[in-house]
Amino acid sequence: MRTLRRILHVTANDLRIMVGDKVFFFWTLAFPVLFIVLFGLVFKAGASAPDVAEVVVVNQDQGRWGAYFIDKIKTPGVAVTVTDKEPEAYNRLLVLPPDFSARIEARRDQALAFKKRENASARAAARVETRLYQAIARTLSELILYGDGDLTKFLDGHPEFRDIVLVESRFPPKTVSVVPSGFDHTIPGTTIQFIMMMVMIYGGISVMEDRKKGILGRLLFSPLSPGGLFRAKLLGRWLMGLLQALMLFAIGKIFFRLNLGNVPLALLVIAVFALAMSALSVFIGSLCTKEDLIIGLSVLLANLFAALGGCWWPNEIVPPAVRTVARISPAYWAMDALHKLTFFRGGFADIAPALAVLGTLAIVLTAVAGKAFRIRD
Amino acid sequence: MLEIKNLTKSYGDVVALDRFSLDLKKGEVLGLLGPNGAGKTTLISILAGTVRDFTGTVTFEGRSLFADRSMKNRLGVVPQDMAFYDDLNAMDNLLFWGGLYDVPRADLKRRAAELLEVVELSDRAKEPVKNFSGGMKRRLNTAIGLLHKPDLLLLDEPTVGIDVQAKVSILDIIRSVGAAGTAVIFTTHQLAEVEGTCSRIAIMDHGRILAQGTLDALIRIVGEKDIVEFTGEFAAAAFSEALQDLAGDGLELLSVADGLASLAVADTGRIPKVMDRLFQRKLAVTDMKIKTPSLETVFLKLTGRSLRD
Amino acid sequence: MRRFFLVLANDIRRHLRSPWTLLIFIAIPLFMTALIGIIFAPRSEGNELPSIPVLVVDNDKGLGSKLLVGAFDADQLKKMFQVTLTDQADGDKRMAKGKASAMVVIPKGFTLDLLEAKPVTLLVVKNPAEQFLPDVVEEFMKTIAVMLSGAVQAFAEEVKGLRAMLNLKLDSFPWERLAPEFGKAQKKVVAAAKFLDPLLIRLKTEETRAAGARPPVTAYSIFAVILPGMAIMFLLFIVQTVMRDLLSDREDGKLRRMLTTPLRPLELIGARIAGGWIMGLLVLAVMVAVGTLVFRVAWGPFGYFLLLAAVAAFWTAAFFALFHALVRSRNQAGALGAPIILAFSLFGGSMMNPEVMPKAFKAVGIVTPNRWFIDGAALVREGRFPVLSLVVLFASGLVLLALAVPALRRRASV
Repeated sequence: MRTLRRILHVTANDLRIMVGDKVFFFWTLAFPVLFIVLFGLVFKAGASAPDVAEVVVVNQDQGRWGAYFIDKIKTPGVAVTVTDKEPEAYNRLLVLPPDFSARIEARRDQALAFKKRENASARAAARVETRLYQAIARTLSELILYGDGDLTKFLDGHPEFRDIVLVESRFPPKTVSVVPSGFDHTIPGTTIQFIMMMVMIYGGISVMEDRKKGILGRLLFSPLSPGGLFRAKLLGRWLMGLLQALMLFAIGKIFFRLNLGNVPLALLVIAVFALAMSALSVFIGSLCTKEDLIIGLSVLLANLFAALGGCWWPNEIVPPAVRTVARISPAYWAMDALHKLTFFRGGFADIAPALAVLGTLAIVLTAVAGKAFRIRD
Repeated sequence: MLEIKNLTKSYGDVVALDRFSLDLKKGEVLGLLGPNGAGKTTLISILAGTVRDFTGTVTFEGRSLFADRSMKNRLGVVPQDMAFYDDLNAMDNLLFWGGLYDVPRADLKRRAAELLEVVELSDRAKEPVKNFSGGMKRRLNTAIGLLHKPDLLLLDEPTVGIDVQAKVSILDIIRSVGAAGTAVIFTTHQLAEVEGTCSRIAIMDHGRILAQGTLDALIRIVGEKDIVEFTGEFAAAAFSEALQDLAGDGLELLSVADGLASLAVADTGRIPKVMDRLFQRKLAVTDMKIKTPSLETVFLKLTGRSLRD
Repeated sequence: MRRFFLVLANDIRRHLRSPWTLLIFIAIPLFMTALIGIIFAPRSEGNELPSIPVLVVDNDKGLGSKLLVGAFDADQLKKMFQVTLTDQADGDKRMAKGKASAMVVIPKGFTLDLLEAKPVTLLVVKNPAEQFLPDVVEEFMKTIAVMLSGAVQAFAEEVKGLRAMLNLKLDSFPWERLAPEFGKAQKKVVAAAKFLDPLLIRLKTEETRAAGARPPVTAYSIFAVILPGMAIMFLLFIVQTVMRDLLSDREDGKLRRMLTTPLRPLELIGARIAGGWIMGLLVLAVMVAVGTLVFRVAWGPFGYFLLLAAVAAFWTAAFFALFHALVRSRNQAGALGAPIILAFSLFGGSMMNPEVMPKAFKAVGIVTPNRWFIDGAALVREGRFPVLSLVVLFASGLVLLALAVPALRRRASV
């Protein structure tokens, strides 16, 4: 009992010093929130993934078919702006030439110029292009139904295209009921990344400094054992990671309507992940003798793990080979478990494999860190 | 109270402590003198429980000092490093370090306040330690080791690099702690510090105690002889040869090198004879100093080197 | 001047003798560039995404559903989709575990309903954890649906006739009635061919570039786009680390000792700033060399790029000279330095393409060296002289230097 009290005493002191640091809140809150806002906005409605893809239609047509065709393009996901002159600034542009109607009525084929800016969103361009193909298919179907009749009279009365084959989309049952927001994707990733950064940098540097200043040695003058001291250092860093996750999740819930699924299980994932990172931080702090080296190593590992683990971009766009390599990243397993909870309403059984990997990693890293833990240089 | 028997510790081929033995009574303040590498810090570290793999026994009131961790509650250590948290204030540092021992919280607060008075830091109690001067930090460093009222206090060079005022303050604390019944071992390079502070002095080198006792007892070891130092332009061999037949009769050649030699003389009346002999052999002496018996001369005699070597 | 060079040479020698920190800070941007490059490099013409795993559940098992499944097998689509045929139970199970981007469910009776021109609904079950790929599948299915709807309507009468015959038994099947139905259909096909072969309305797609816009990223140029952003970010980290000597020397008494010698404060300050600049240039040189050799980065006219690198390193050295003159201690420098660098990098475009950043972030980016360096490097890549970037970085660097030197002199005399 006294041993536990001493461990908690050292842990509380570590936390207190950390929280008392002026830049602690920059690292734990301000910067991650900046990240969340930026990436959340970009994934939500940024130019790379717009909710509505806009297209400018230059309607030079001298007949009535231009307006008819433009009507066919309109859909909630595509914003059509009609103009009669080609503007300088556009992202996607369709030109209906002056003889658009004349050629249709004469049943003469034509190719419409569809211009896409090279640097504009490829996804938005694909959406508009798909819609244009659908509009052409609708128009052609109506023309075929109309048959050999006089096409100049087509617009006065013609068989309407009916959507016989419909497409309905939904998410799998027992998963999410609303479309996940950009923040649902970015908050877990950012949280995981900054737990790694902060626990490794702060945790590593403070272990190294305490050793260099003789504080670790002095702590052992007390009845605290070396094992107890190691556990106290581990616990301090673990609580730091948990505290950061709690703050970011709370902000996510309050300001960005973060949907985590089963919150206690999400915290369990974070807890196991943070434990592995705490052990890594003690290991790095025991290994390195320079602050800059710890920062460099931590930034390298945290960024590498985050990028591989899917904290920066959706793993779906990553080549299969990289996805395989990603399994070496603890962040991959944490993100995998959080995805199962957030997007699939998973339970303990669903995240058990990821938890097992993270748990094993935490045990191995703790053993390695315990072995490397040094009281003096 | 404290009994150390045949303590031996090696680092590879280097023997840091060689069958080191020592007894210490309640309230006794032992000053441990020794040149760098004598084994002082190793001894303190073993007693503090942070260095292991040694042979020999250390008992405290009949029990092994390392029997269980609760024994550490009876031990106070003041390390050479300023090992505390710069970001915390003095009071918070005391409460943290004291909290590691089995001291009730209320007592701890009272004790911390008392100690801040003793080390004259009461008015700076709430200031972050990083703003403190070197002397203030040393005083705080000492206070941390006293918080839990230890029965045995170990201080490893507690006065290094501080001003006279702070040094006097720390030595006063050591004296008063001893007077209150705590057994104290403190290591230092400063002879003046042990002379006025310690009830017993031990001189150690190469991991062993060479001599120990009160200041007077130690001085008697050199036979109350004065030390005469000669400086000049002479060769060591010529100097030795010149005094060869005078040696033995209350005159002892302690050390000789080209241009520098020292003799122990029982009677300073023999010095003119020595000078005469040197003059006859045309050995040029430019300066001569007579030192009365002191701890420094004892140290020189026992270790053959100056304390700061 | 001799003493200036003595201090400078000593500083550089010291930093090169314990190179681990430097090496790690050089390795990080190269590593990140490699990773981002591999992930985001366009894989082939018109296909920027990896093959999309799609499950297809055919509950109909009729002619219509077979045609639909066959659509995924077209040459172009084979690369785009990785189709797995499965049953409903297995599909549901896999989707519940997120094992595919989407699942297309063809309902029972799909073919018959199509033949009767009754509305039918194809279900696309999307993976909720994915942001892009399920939408691609949905859009593709919507296009297929329109084409099927058109075909069904165009051949509604013929299909109805066939549908009626399908209910008859084989021995009473009116084989003689098949020919006229096919005859009618053939006529319609011939008529439809006027619209379909060639397509009456086609799209002629072209990619255009706005005036002054940069060329698009290709598999070859992606590293050249990413590396400058990463390089400037870690240049900031390295120069900050190197120039922290300005503080540590003050804290551990070396500064006081140096100033007891004939060394003038201005010589010392000059050597420290020059040291930061030279180390910055060295680091950039290593990154450029690795970028050229490993990533085959084409930097554009080398002289232009060298000038840009020199000016960027100068700005960085001047900035950290001022920074270290203003902060009180090493700890404070360490605590404030990293957040400032990360903020520069976030707003300045080192972490994300500025083109896709929200406007407010982009506006803030103008005050960062990252933005000007990245813009300058892009211009150099196109063979243009980055005059604006050079002027902005050099002029603001001079201002920083003018503020830093007197501030550092004041600190040196304390």
